[in-house]
Amino acid sequence: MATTSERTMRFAGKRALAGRTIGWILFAIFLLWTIFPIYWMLSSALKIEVNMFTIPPQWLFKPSLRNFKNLQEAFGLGTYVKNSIIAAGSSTVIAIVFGSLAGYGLSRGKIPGKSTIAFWMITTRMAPIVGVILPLYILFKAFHLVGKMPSLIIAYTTFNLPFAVWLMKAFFDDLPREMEEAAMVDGCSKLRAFFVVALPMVRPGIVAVATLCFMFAWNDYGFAVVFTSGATQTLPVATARLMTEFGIVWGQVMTLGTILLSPVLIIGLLIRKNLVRGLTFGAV
Amino acid sequence: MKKTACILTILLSLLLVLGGMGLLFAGGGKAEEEEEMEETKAFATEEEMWKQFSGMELNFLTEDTPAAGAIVTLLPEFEEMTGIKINVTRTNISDLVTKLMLELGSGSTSMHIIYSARWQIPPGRSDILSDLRKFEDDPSLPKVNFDDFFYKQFITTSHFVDKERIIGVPHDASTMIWFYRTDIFKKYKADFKADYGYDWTPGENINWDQYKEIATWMNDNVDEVKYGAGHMSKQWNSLYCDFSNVFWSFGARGFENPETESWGVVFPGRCMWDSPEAIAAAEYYKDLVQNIAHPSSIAWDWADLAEAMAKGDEIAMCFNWHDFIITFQDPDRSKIVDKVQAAVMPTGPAGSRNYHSGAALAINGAAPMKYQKASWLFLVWQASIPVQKEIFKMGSTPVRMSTYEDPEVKKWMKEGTYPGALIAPTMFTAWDDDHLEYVEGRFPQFVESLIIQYTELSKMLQNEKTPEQAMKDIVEQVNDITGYTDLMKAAGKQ
Repeated sequence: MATTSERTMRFAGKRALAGRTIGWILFAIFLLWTIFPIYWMLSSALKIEVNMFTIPPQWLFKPSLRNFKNLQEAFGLGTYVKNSIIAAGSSTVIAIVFGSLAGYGLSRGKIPGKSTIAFWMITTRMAPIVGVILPLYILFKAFHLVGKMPSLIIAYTTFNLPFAVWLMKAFFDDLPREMEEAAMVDGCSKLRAFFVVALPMVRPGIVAVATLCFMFAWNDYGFAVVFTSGATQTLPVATARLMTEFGIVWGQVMTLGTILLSPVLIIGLLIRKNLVRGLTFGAV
Repeated sequence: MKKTACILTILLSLLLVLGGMGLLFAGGGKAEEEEEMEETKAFATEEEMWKQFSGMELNFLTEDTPAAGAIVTLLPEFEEMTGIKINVTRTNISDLVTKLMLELGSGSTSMHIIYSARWQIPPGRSDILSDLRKFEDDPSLPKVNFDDFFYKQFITTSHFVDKERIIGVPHDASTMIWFYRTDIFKKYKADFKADYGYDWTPGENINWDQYKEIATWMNDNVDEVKYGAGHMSKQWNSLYCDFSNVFWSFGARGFENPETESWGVVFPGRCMWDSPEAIAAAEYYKDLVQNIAHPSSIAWDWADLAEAMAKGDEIAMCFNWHDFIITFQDPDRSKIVDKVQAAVMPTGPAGSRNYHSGAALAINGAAPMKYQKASWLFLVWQASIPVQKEIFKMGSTPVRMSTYEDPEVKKWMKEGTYPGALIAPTMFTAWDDDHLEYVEGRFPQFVESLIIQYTELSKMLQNEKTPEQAMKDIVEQVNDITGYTDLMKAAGKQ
């Protein structure tokens, strides 16, 4: 006959097993919920539209690249991809360069009212895009920038730069000053200490900020639809074009969705370690 | 220190606000007076006339339509003929209206040629669109010949209130027609006739009661589809469009001012949606959608309805925009290729009425005169027969009537070579004065009025209101927003 402690241990073991099983089931549901839409989008991109809505759904099918081909040939996909990369990439680079410098300055500098300045900067990021579109449009119109790429880059930078400054300041705040002071004692100027000591140490933070800035600009629709014209339209605006008055061109929408998602997904997977470390940088 | 920082922040903010206000008022907002036209003479050759603005760049903002697609395809020919570069921005209608309102409202001249949807643009900003008469009369410029467009289209897309001022060149002419499955109608024709005693082939020979009979019979007897008919009764513009085909056919009218839906008006007068005819139309429509049509009809707009029809197994007929023939004939998107035809709407007490909604291309009147003249060249070119033929090939229907006299186009129509050719005979009937109906009010508050109308109709379909109550509520609310109620109160009549 089992002793009380043996029964207790068996019961604890069963509970642990039940807990792990429930955990795995919940995880599987979560995984399905997350991955299934991506699978469906990708598989739809490889189907002819008339086969996308069959009941029962076609799980196994002969893939077709017709949607990709139509996008490339008739739709001018290359131009939209190029515009998206230029707009998102440029604003990210500007935000990182000036954000790092400004963040370091706000972190280390003895500037009167610097916490007010830092707060004032981040409040600009709190404004909804819709609220700033009209003032920006008026500004860009005055400088004849409407419909040109610089207007989009500037618009993205107005949102990315304060965000970058705020986050980089937090990253620099968490760095011990002693290493920079040691470098300065050894003869480094402040600027050199920034480039040689501080900046490399916040690399994960830079990766995290760059990824977030790029994602915001890459996915943006509000600024792009107002400030761009035919030659400067980006991928999200191009996707909206496929929702015509005479139907949604589902095949091409799914294909564009796949193209929109891919870079961010790939970058996220490649730099995930740095991303996680960067985002939790200030948490420790 | 804190006080200094606070003062600095306030000063900086004030500077920015003042700077912004300076730019705001410097940037303009109201259009300038129309530039005076210089006196010009005709050119010696046509080539010189078309090349007179060589080297210029024009910006063209349009909805993404088959007509726009045709223009873009042929654009290199225009650029070679004129030396003018056209930068085309294609977008969906909502974004187009947003961009245009910003453009026209700010007095910006970055867009020269614009797609002018008849009920969205002219009632709001017709004053900013250029009067095209001066270009048509200019001996140094080509002529478009406004007489070659069908008259009702010309009235509504090219004018607003002022019957002399021409503000657009007709561009597209979407019209609602009755699509039906030819295979199903052929297969079950004898069976239906045996039960009901008449030929059920769609057309104006069929009245609205017979339409219900046909749809009901199909629900019970046709295996190929789940329901006979589907409708675009989603709580949106589509519901207004679908209901309007019944509304006008029953002899109802929109507003007291008879020119509200045609030339356009500043004040439409009393809303007439509570007339006995209008209530009868609402009662009919409610019964049709709730008891006979596909149950998903109340969730479908025109694109959803077209998809349902194209699926092949949902519905056998629907009323939809004629351009959807492109979808139905596309093997990538449709399972009913070569199995669909079109007819005009069923007949009611006021005949068969087909909802028409077209657009024109207009010129931004705030642009410098040289750009306006160059834009005119583009407008004339896009309305020329070669471009109209290309529009036909892309699946839409040309708006220039003489296009249909072209020998090649006649051949296409005879052979049904292109989707537009299949339904062209129906379109000619739908466009004649006895069948065409403009139902979109052209007055400044139309968009708000539209929202009221389809919201109340939707409540009716959801059984929240009776047809009579819904129509009376529409009248009350629309009269409020147009100012009719206030006018009557001021006159002591309410």
